[in-house]
Amino acid sequence: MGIAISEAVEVAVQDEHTHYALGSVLNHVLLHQTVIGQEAIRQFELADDYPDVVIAPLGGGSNFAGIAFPFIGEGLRGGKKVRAIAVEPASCPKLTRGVFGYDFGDTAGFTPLIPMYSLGHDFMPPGLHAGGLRYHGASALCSHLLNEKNMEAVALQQLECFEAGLLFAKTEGILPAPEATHAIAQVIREAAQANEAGDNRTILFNLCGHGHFDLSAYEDFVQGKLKDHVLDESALKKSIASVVVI
Amino acid sequence: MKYFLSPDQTPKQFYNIMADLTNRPLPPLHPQTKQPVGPQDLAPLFPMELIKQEVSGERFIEIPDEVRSLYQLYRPSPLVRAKRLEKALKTNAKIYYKYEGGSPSGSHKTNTAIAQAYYNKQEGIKKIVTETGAGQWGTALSFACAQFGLECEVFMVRGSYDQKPYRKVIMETFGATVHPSPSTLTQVGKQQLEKDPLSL
Repeated sequence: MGIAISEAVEVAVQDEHTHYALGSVLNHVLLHQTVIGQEAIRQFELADDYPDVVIAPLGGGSNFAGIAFPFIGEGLRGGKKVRAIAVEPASCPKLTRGVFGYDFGDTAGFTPLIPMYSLGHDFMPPGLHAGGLRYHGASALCSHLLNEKNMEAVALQQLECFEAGLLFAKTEGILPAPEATHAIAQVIREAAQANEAGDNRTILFNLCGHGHFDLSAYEDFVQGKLKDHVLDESALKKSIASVVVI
Repeated sequence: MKYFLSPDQTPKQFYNIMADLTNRPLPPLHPQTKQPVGPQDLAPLFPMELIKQEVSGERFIEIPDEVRSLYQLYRPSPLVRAKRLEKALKTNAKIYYKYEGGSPSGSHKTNTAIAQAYYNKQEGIKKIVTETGAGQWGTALSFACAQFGLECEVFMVRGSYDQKPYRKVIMETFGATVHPSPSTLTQVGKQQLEKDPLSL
């Protein structure tokens, strides 16, 4: 992913009528996605309910920000506080196993140094199917909110996520994108915790996209060809060392 | 159980959480000078309106009419109570989801793609170059560029490019050019291929 960013930036700077665009990570991208959470707040008024927990997958952070920031904002302004949980793949665990520091947004080091949780800009995640979650860092805003304890993070393995995705498809009729299955798996954990605690908490998650282009991944899963990933600890240690810890 | 808003209830503003933070995040630094980046550093890559949004402290930023009207092709998106999932899980928890898969790209990425293409068009830009991992973002930007008559070039991570050939087709359907990355079109791509020929 980091190399593709470097290539796009290299092409963009060579022509004054050409610009670059990033689909996550940057503040303005997160900002645009907040239409999702703002709508959800109005819709919960119609439902006469309000979430206790808001869950979204986190690749760069725009999906999570889109649904969670408007709710976190209400809490920051003195309103009801939600637990906001970002779910990352165990094979690309920047929030739970990365370090907070200054790191490049791309492999070649063309981008500004961003203050973020990172696994190092050289980190090469295994070939997981949730391609949107393969980024080495988390946006500066999400990293900051995690440091300030305004959000939580968990890392899940892919088999649990695909299992959750299949259950969702069978029950609700939508085949979720592999990225979205990470949120669903955490929803299922949260529902089990609610049962144990004997409460009826309200859980909201972002079903960020359908998985109609990801059928080969589902095929591999149902045929038993997928395994959970084990990270190469020495490679991880090496790539994390490039982050300038703050 | 579904909760719908009407198209005229599509949000009129973006919400900027920066306004509600007591402590602000640290600034991004220039890769060479290690000083905080200024607008002029980002100007070769992004339109000024997006650079302003990047550092804005305003709580709400107005959504331009043209952007909002494109949003209304698929927004507001439904909020759904997942009753059947709740039943399967035998839980008393109430589970809701917001469904972003109904957008032209099939994901939430369309929300920012439309806004980014709009601000670039306003500044007289002719072409936008980007990367895509799984393909959702590339698809969204291809669609958005087509709405504003902009060219779109996408570098797609090789693994996804091979695994999901129809992602390339849908981007091309929207008029974009798609290359697998690393490619031989850039210096950085060529260097990567020399280092690791298998990445082609």
